[in-house]
Amino acid sequence: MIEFDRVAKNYDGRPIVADLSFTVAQGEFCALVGSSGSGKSTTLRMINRLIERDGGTIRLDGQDIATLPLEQLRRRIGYVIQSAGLFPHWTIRNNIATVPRLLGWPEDRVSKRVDELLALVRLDPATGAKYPHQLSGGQQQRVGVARALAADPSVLLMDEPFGALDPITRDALRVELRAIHQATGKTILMVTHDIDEAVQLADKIAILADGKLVQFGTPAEILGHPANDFVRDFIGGTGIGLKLLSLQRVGDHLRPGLTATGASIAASAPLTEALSEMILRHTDRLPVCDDKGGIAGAVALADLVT
Amino acid sequence: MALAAITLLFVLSVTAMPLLAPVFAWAFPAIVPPVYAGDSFATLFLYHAALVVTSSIASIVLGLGGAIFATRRAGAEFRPLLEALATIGQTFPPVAVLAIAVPALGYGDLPTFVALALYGILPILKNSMAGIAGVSPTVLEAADAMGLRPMQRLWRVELPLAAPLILAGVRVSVIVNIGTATIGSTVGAVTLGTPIIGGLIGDKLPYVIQGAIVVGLFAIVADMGFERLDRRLRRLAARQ
Ligand SMILES: Nc1ncnc2c1ncn2[C@@H]1O[C@H](COP(=O)(O)OP(=O)(O)OP(=O)(O)O)[C@@H](O)[C@H]1O
Ligand SMILES: [Mg+2]
Repeated sequence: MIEFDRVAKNYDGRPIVADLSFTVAQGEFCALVGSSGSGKSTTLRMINRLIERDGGTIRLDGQDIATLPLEQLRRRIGYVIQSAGLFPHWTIRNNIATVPRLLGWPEDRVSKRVDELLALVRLDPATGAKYPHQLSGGQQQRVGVARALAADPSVLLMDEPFGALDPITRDALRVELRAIHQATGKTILMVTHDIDEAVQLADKIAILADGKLVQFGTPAEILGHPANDFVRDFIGGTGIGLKLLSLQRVGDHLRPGLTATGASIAASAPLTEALSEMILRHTDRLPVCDDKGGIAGAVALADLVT
Repeated sequence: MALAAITLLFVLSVTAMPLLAPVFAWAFPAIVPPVYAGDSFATLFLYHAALVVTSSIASIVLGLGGAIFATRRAGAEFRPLLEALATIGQTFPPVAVLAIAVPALGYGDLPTFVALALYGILPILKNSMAGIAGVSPTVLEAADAMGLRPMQRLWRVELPLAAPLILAGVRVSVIVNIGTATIGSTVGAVTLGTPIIGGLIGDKLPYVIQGAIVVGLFAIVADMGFERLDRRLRRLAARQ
């Protein structure tokens, strides 16, 4: 759990972050969004004290971070940055083992943990013996995530972790990050520019503008009820409807009795996919299959807007 | 292979110079004896090497220490000053440094040692500052965020990544010192420069040639040794 309580940061007398209060609950995935220069990275880096705040309190699992020894605090927090920041002179295994070794784990436990993590981020075990420059950007970022998770930290901080990757790699890593979140139950706070990424991944979204929190809520709350014009513009203006649709599943609007022809769509697919199919096939209903592949009913165009 | 051949040649030059006596006697019949007959070349080499090794160690300690200090937060404000000092210092010829050291320290090994050590600091200081300051900020941020203590960060991350540049500085420093140490003989230090200086004063060209051959081969062997060390480090640095 991460609690911000009236946190402030100034540079040269200019407030960069002001009166910031919000809480990321245990196990929650929170996205911190806002335009460039709005103070997202500053906010994130105040948690592991790469930047010292000028006012307010930050608590980690109920403990004021100011009361913890600096290195001890940092070893409890996983931190992932855009360009991975791997140590170029260490093998992948040694990179991942950094924090466990700092914590003095016995070597056999470190080694077992590294094996687990390579599997978790879906890297081939042979990758462990390589050096960072031998890996693609996407693979390096997987290592970055593995390294951050190595000592089983209670929270994971990520600063635009996929910002430097191509769209396909980014999508693949997003899907895996969600799987990792579900598998590990970590509290995650992720900075991103990309509102779609936030909507796709996060349980909660915090929107910053000029260092102030302008809205905090679930993706559905924010898309459904933007707090002001700034938020409305930021989350995509006229595209908001489609984003809301993407939050819902075909199964949520299933009509069991209804029949339709053609290829079926999975109940777990987002509604935007159903809409796209209807447009392509010039039809107003699609058959829906459940996760075993049997036809469960149909979804109708009229239901998408109710 | 080349290193082994040159090293062999160098060892021969140190141990077997008297064997060349007939050659020098034939080329310079007027000079007797034809091969320098003061301290043996092996003795001269040992004195010379001792001077170079001790002064280089002092240069490394001071140069690298200064660079580490200037790249810490506490020393950051001294960095421009040290950089300017290192750059300007290198424009002084080493002889000038020696000339300054003598009035302060008298004749003999000591002023030579001090002059070599001081002059040798400059390339090490300059290169080490560049190397340490050149470590990627994201790598440093990751190291901090992972909870490495400042000393752990220095030893495990900054120095290994700066090592190729630091080594290049040490290499320049040592090679220059091998050459400069010969001048120490003008102020009374016993070095491979002794036959050279003696030969120049006494108009005995073969002694100059003999001393120069040994010093030259010494410098080449040392440089090739550094070359090999450097290649090994670069293989690691390619990983950056
Ligand atoms: N060390 C510093 N000194 C002065 N100003 C700074 C410093 N670090 C950041 N700032 C300013 O603080 C503001 C917020 O910076 P921050 O890096 O938190 O923004 P951000 O939301 O992460 O932006 P981006 O999306 O571009 O990464 C910016 O206006 C920046 O110029
Ligand atoms: Mg940022």
